[in-house]
Amino acid sequence: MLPNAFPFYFFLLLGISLYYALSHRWRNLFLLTASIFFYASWEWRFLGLLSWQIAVSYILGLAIGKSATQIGRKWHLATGAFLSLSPLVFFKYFNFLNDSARQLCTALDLSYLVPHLNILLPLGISFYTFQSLGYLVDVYRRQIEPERDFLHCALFISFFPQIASGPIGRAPELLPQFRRIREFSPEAFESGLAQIIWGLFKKVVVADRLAFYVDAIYSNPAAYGTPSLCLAALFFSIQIYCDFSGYTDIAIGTARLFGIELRRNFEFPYFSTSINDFWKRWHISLTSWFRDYLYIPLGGNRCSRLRHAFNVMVVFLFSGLWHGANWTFLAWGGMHGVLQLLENAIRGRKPTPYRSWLSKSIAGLLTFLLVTVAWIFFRAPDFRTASVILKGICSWRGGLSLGVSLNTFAINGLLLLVFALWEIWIFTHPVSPKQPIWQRSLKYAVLLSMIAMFGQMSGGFIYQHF
Amino acid sequence: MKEFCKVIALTLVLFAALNLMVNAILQTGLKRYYCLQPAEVLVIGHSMSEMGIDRDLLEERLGLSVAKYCMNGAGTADRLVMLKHYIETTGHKPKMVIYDVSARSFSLDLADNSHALFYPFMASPVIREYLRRNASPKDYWTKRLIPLTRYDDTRFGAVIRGYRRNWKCSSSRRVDLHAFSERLKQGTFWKIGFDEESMRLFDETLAWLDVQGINCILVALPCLDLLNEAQPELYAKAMGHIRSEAEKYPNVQLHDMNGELSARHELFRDPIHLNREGQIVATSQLADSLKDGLK
Repeated sequence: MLPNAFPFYFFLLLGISLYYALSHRWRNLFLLTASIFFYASWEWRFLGLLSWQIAVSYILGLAIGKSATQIGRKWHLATGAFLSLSPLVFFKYFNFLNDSARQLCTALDLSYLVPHLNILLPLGISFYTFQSLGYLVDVYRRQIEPERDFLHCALFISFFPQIASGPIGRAPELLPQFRRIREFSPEAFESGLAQIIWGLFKKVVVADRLAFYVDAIYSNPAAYGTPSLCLAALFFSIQIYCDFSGYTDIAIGTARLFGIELRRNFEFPYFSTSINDFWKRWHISLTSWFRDYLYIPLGGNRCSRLRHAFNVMVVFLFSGLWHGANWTFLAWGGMHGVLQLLENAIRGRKPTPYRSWLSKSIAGLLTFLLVTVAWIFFRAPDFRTASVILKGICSWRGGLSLGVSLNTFAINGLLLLVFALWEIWIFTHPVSPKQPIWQRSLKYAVLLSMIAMFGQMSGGFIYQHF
Repeated sequence: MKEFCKVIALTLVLFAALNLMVNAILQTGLKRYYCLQPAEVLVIGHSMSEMGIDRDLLEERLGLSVAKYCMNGAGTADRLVMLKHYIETTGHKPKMVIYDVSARSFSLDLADNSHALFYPFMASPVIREYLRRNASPKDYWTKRLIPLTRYDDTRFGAVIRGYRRNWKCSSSRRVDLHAFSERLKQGTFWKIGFDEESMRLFDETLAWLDVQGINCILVALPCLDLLNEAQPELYAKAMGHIRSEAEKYPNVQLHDMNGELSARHELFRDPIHLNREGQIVATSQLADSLKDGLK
């Protein structure tokens, strides 16, 4: 049940109707049932894993809270982290580690007998594992009381709008929302619907249409010339943003319909003027998770230059590995780490902001280019493909191949322009006064019409594979 | 709450209005491009005739009004529906139908999922009936209820061409013989097939035209000789079947252009489709031979 397909919206309509028809005391139970149904609709066999994660969070959270000594708390946290991370390590990284070990042994002429396992990656495992882990650390740090109500704890881990691709929720923000009585708010409901429509537009009108071109080029990059490869790299930057932020918008909007506020995950990342700035705007829930639970415990920036460099690289390498068990993701994370360190070396750790629009534009363009180059490693299935693309771009050969029909290419170009102008408008008009009813309705109707006309209601979401 | 209800109601009304308005604009362009208007000669076919026959040139050379209703990927089942749709929409029977054929007319892959071509014309009862039989209920009802979901990128291109009244082949590219020879060696070319249902529907179409009293010219537009020679026995068998079908009905004639044009490689943009130069040559030849026949 993908959030860009009709069944999801039938499920949502039915869910909303029943949810507000029920009395307050039954609503959380209903949300949990809906979440379990949503997760089971992908693959019911992984319900056991989700239950495991809920049980670990609930039991170990209580155990940490009850421990009288610091050692006891630490011990319970370590146990919780181990039990919480074990499924993720097995399902996501076993084959990667196993295959890497086999390659190493083969290179060293040693025998290696552990076979490759056919493991299906459970939906959203990286997201709900990190959410659970964050909860345990928050309890350990006494930032929150352990959740005694099993229903609230289960809902916190499994809440369906965010389970597949985030945003990664924080217990201090979400648990109080599950505890309080949630009334129907027409303003919040309208804002939720608006966010769903905008997210859907980004996903099905922009991202999935650009995917035609990007997929065609990345499937056989050697057959294409420099302009096509550059365009594919550029389009992928936009595709991944629209795909992921589109999902996030749908998730935030859906949660808002049920009276739950999720945290913001994107803040116009392609208007960043530095790599540091980019990471404050891109996948904010993950970046802040790494900042709070890894970077700061490692020492953050209140340490020597060398130690700080080490901390930055560890965070970015882990961030790369979080996305996927592949060396290309590690390279992607590593590239961002190196770029951030270079930036710190050139401009200092706390640089003065750019003042003139020209310097801002140049810095913004340069940041976008660097991010786009790094995305090549993210998108390419292996280093060989990434190197073919980079070599193709640098060799300056061949002409522009459309890769798709001329009609599709022209329509995509036009839709991209509409999206870019719309995004710039929102960026430059952040606090717009409440528009009149007819203007809002017209905006929603135009977006819905464009979704109906140009939308591709088929492809999955990129981040659901993480 | 009152404001919220107003927003929802107004959004739905505006969405419905936009659907109707934009659909009307698109329909006008589409009907122009597919020539859904009364004409003396009707060209029915798929991409080969869409790219291979210049409507304006044919009209000028014949001195008769010509409608060109050709859709990329239309198989024999689709063409029968197109004929009925044309007559239903225009309320007029053409004197002559030019029906494009080739050795691959009965290949199954041509007709795969081709019912989707007709979503924009769902307002027609003939098309609705065809779609009800072929489309999934989900697709059928989505497209029935929301008219803007009926169009794809190819149809948008057709709308623009319709408004510009442009039926000319836009490609001046020439076929890459070296690349195609490689594909022939690898066997990755469009193979000749004999789908029984397609063959039955072809016969049904000719019989239907006979009953309607409409003359039919089966035009075998040229394919590249290298492609025709790739499966010589099957090619002969397919063309033989078409010839025997033409002989079965007194109102049907076959005009095969392969002999004259398939070796002229400069006329092709790819092994199956003609380029602009090829379109002019083929249309002129077709018009000349039809004129002789009409005399």
